[in-house]
Amino acid sequence: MTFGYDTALTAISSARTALRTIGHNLTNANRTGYTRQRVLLDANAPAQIGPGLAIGTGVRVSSVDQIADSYLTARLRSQAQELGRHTVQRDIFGDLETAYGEPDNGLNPLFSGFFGSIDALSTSANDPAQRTGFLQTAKSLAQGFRSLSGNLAEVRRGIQDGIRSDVGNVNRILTQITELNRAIITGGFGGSVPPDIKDQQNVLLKDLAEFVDVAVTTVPTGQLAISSAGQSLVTPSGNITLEVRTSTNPQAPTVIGIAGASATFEPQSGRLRGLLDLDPTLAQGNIASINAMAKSLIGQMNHAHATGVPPAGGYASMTSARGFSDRNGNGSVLDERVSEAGLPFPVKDGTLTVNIRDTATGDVRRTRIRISTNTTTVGNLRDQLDGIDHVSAFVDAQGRLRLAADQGYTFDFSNRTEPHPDAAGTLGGTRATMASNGVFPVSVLPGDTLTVAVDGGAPQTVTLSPSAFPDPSNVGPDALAAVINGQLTGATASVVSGRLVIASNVGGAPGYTPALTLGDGGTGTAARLGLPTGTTAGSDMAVNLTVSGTYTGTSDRTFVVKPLGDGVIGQTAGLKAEVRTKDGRLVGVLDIGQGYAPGTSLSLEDGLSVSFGAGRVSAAAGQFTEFDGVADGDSSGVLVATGMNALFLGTEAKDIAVNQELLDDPTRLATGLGGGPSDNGNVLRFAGVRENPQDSFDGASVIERYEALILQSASDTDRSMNTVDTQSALMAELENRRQSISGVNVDEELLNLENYQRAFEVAARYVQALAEVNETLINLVR
Amino acid sequence: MSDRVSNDTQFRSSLAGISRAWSDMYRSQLELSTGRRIRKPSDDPTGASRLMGIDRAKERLSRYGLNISSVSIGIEATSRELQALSDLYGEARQRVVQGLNGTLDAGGRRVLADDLDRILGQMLTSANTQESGQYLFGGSETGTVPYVRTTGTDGIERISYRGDERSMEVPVADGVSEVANFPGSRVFRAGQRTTTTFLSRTGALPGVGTNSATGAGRLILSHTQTTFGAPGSRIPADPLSGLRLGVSSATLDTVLGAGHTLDVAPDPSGIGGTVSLNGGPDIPFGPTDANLAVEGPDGSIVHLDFRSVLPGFSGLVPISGDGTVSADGGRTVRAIDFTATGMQVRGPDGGITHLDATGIRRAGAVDVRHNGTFDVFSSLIAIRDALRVEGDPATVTAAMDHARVLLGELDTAQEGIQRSLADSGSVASRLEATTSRLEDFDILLSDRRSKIADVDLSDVLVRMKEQEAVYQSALYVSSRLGQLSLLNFLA
Repeated sequence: MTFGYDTALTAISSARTALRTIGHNLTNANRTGYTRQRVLLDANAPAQIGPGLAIGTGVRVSSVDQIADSYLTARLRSQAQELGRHTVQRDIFGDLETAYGEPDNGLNPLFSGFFGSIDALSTSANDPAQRTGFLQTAKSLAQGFRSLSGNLAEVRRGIQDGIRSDVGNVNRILTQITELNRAIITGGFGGSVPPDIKDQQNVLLKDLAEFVDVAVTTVPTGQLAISSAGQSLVTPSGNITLEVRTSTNPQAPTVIGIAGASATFEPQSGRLRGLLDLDPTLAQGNIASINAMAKSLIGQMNHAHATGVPPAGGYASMTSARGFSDRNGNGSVLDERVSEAGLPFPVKDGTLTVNIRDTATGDVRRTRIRISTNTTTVGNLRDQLDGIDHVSAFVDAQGRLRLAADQGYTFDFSNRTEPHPDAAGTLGGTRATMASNGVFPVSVLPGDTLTVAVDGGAPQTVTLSPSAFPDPSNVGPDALAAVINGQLTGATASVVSGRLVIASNVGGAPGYTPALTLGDGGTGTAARLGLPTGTTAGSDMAVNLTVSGTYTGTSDRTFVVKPLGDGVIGQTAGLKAEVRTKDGRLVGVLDIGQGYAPGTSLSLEDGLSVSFGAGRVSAAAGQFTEFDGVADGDSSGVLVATGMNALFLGTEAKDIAVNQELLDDPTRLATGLGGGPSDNGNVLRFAGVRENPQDSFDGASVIERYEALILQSASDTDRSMNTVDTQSALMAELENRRQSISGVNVDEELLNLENYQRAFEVAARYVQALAEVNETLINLVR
Repeated sequence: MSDRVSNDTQFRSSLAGISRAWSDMYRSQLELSTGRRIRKPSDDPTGASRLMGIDRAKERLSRYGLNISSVSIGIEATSRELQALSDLYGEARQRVVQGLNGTLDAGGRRVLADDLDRILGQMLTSANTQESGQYLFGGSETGTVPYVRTTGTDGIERISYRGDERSMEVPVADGVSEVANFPGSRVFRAGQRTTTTFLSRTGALPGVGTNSATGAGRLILSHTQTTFGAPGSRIPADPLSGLRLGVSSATLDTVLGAGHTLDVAPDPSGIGGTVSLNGGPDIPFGPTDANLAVEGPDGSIVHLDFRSVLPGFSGLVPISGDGTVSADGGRTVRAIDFTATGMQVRGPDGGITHLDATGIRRAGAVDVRHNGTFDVFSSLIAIRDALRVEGDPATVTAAMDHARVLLGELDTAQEGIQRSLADSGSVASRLEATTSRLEDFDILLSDRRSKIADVDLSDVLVRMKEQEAVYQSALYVSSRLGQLSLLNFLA
């Protein structure tokens, strides 16, 4: 008789199960990631009550299913990865934009102020207010660089902190997944993992996907195995732990490693990918760019400043900001090569120009020091500087180069013009002078003699015996001069600009005109040595060639001036002089005879002019003089490298600062190029830095480079904001789709509730019916 | 969108709708409250890039504006000083004409000369005017006093120019530069070099060669040694006559050059005789005369010692004088080469004067006039000195003739002042025109900038009204949705 009750019981208990599931769905309706569950009912196997006769035995709960689309779940995970990556990048790009502070608080307004003050300074270079104003804006610019550098470092620290905290989160999630894996085994579910544990797994996986890309394999036990970027993170037996590795090298990117192993972990997506991508963007992109800009600005401004001249006309003393380093550790810096003495700016093969100015007369003497990267040592450099008249040089205990001028002299490193280059007087000087054509080496043969007579006296015979020369077929001017001087009185041989020059010892004076007669010993000696023969006179009035202007050529050039005839400047009809470059190119033929007012400037090329004073010149005596157009006062870069007379100290954005010496004494600011105190020649070079194209910036100037950086950051921010919007929308759509399948609709659940409640009531009614049937039966029996 | 909508979907989409509407409204509100459309470059990268270009152009304009105002200040001051100089010139000219009309005596001319000295001083003050610490008339040497005076016992002796000839060009617009200053070398001088005139009784003449000295100058020919025979022979005694040089010969003789002749004639008494120089008056000498001065007709003098003269000597004795020339008041001297037709001598400012020494007969001063090269100062100084000349009528007449020529030089020289005055006026008016053009351009740029950077108020207000409506409806719909549920209808 219990037959029917069994069936009713199955209906009641399955209805209860269904109601419980509905209750579960309703109570979890608002839980993130909850997947609605559904009770699947199945008819019980029929009972065989006779041959070929079976009746149903009710219903049973076959399973409680999660209603989920596994494709959607995977898509959601990968979308979470992308969204995570772009969201973190958007946040950092936003931080970066804030760090730059444009348009109101960035470097741009400071650049404007700096170059604006340069313009103001150029209109009145010697005005103390403008000089101080310029230095103050330079100081603000330097501060701007330093604070920007600090801000960018802060952004990078933010990225590194983000990596650290995300790695912590990933480790926590990995541990939780491993705990679940263990729980599945200890729970003994036998391959059928309860839906809520699956839900937990899904939530953890989705959380993990926010940080890294995730590949999931479910093993038959229901446990999860997870790998990312080909690296296994979780196996059923356990998980690995990630760690963050930073380097002491600020440019080296931050790396994620696997604890206890040397391998690194490179996720392909997720927040960590975003952070790992931006870390080098900051370190090698933004921070390095700002440093390169600062370094370029320091290099350019310092080069201009170090090769300029202050209003006073020069410097009395100077100390380099940086010292040479003792690289080989032998206790002395003097044996270090200048190019490899640990300086932050490069020293190239080139020339350093040192001008010594006599403050009383204003006359300038120039010395050029060749610097070779292969041979010039710190000691060489010091000795060469120290060897210049009226200046002393030494290297102090910190390896710094110190220069000091004698009382009454100043020095500078500009490309200023040497006003009176003919110090030797080889072009119309007061002494009677004869010069060779300068073609050396020459051969000296047995029997070579010259005769030299001074002031019409008896000719002195100078014998050039081959035995006096180590290599008689290869004799230079210095050796010849030495041999001649050993046999000559009243006149002296010397070497001027590579030519052999013989001049009377005494210059002309009122009532006295020296004369020099050069004769050939009858053997063709004079012709072979390139020396003229005949008589030439000195004068009591020297021509004293004057060079003026500022050389604007882009490479160094030596000019040779030669008279084309003999005569008096300003008087002899048709007297001309030619100017050629040292390699023979004709620059100009100048009329200096009748019609030329002595002292009038005649322009040559590249900004230079010459003027001839009154006096006598002679082509027959081989007279000439040379002068240099110097393009760059320091083409070796040694001044910038050592920080001699630097405008900016430091080498990058975080340590750029205005030289305190200049702030203390603005008159040291090198505004000119050797003109008067108001000369603004060097200020114009400062101004040129605004638009100077730099090879290191692909032909952009520092400012253009900066603007490009700002625009890059702006469009990065803009683009990443748009990407996040798109990705969020996509994420929302996917989420909607997931919800449409797996989400809980309360109304639907309520209807189901009604339904199962009715089913329960029906089952109960069935039991009641059975009971009534039984009652009736029992009453029959009674 | 699938058919099935879960409660969570409904909740989240209402929430997203409300927050989107809110953030749109917030953005509009920010734009309205700051008035700026681009607050950071990423708000509009293209716009931000154009803004940087416009800001650079505006910066350049403001630089030009600064340049124009600093040039204007200088040009204004220049015009003022030039006007004052022009007035002073008028005053000076009036005095000179008065002095040259021949009715004044030496005293009257001296008063006028002193007046000229005073006017010179005022002109010098104007010429050395500074504006904002910069000298107006020094060329690019704005830091050094352009005109330096050398004062002697007679007032200002010389005024030298220490500036240069450069006028500074200042950029005032793209590709346009304006002259910022007028160098004194062009303001105070306008003529072209013509001839050089020597005024002297020494026999010196302008030499062959192109001079570079300017204005008025003075050569001093000095005697150093008298010699029997040709110049430079340094023979202290004549071997034929036994004549020797007197002790004062070295210091007081004035004969220079070759071709001087002493004519010695014996006295019939046999003791002493007469001697004459270059056909000048006969001067008696005795056997004891050791230092007799003999003067020739041109004023050249030799001192002779007759004690060893051969008694009864009669004949011609050739003598010469060696000497030096200086153009800078004796600071530097050159030995005179009496065969040179073009000796070069250097003046105090380095200018060269060529001298024909072949005709020099005696020592003395040579007043040199480099016609066409006078500046206002040197011509006024020379006129003043001419007005001060006193002495015999011939000397005064010569000085007045000299002064008339110099007045012509002064008139020529001051044309530079008039020309600069006109030039400064046109620079000023051009600057004004440029300023208004730059202002127009600046307004245009500001307008363009504002279109990119600033908020279009009406546009944003309308947009914000719309957003408000959207926000309200989002709120309304959300609140309504929450109220609907099957629960309301289940018994």
